[in-house]
Amino acid sequence: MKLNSLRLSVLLLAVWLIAYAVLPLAVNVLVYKLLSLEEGTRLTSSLYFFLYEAPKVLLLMVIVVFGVGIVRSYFSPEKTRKVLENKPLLLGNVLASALGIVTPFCSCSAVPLFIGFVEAGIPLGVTFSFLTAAPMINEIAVVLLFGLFGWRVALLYVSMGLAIAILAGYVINKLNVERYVEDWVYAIRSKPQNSREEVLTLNARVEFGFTQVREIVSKVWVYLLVGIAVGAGILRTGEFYGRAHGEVGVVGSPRVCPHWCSALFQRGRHYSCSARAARKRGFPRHDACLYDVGHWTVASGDHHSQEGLEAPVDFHLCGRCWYGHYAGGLPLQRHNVT
Amino acid sequence: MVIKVLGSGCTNCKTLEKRALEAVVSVHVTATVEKVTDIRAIAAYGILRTPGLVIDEEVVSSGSVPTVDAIKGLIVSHAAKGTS
Repeated sequence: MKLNSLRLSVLLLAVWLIAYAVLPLAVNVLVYKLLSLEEGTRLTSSLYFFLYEAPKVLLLMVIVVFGVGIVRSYFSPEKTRKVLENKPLLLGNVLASALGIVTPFCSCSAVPLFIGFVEAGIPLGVTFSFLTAAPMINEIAVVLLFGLFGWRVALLYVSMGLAIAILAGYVINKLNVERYVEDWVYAIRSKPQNSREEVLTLNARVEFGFTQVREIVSKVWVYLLVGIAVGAGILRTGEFYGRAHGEVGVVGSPRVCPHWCSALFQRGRHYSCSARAARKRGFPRHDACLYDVGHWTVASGDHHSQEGLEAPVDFHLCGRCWYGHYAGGLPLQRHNVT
Repeated sequence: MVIKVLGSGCTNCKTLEKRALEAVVSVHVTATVEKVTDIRAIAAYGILRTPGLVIDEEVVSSGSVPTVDAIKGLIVSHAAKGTS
């Protein structure tokens, strides 16, 4: 049986899910069992951090790019142009900015796009709203921001971008700069192309998703690894930690946590609760926030059994319990493994 | 057969040109591959996205870089259309 892209995608999705699920365990085994590194040292923590975060973020990246690729395949500049024709100014600006987010095109197409839009009678301001929003707001970034930082940051990112694009287009409308456009742009009477509206099959959309993954991930993976390596380096030196943990709970944001480099990618917004709870209960350091909680086992008390748990805190949190801890604000009772 | 690659010189356009040449060589057709970089000429074809691929003045693809096999297919089907 020949694998088509659709079947292949289902298969790969299953592989993805398994990989994502076993990753914490695999890294634990690799670091502590196979490499038998000493627990608790900073070198081990950074290595652990890198080995865990690098594949995790890459996995997330792949799935998000793929999903967004499918969404993108439903949009094209040709369709966008059709939507924007004969729209009143302000509505045109808003629509153009919104469509700019999801319409796929590479930056070198900006000039032909501009000409094509203007030629179709779309006002200059509306065209610029589109061209401003398109490179500024990236839907892959939106999803990643949502996943890693929460909806507030994602919303801020989108709304700021939209506001700038709409405003910029609106101002350009008001400035009446049409006269500065070279005459030949209006003179071009292009042959009616693309009248054939392509109807893509689901299979073709999935293929488009794969192409996007190949193109985008092959470009950014190096930066991703460098970024995570820098994070791991920060974790190693430990100098950036500081002691200002008290501030963290107040704004309820893990983003300002001195541990953000390690903790932030781990469980996003739930950290705020744990930080607040930890502070309230007089924890001098909110231990749950530390990535290297793996060096501690769970002690008794606070809804844990009287005997405590043999499992390392890390395992405990990676299981079903983490939500209870972070959302419910349960601090970790820990004792060091010696 | 005249094959034109429309694009202002980005990586995608260069890749397309390379693939078009490869495709021409492997399907054994007599064809010239030209590169069109003048933006007015590109706009005249009415494409919104580069790179564009034009066979005998007909736009067969735009906004994507087809694989060598896909380009071969485009050339063959175009040639078939021409003879029928």
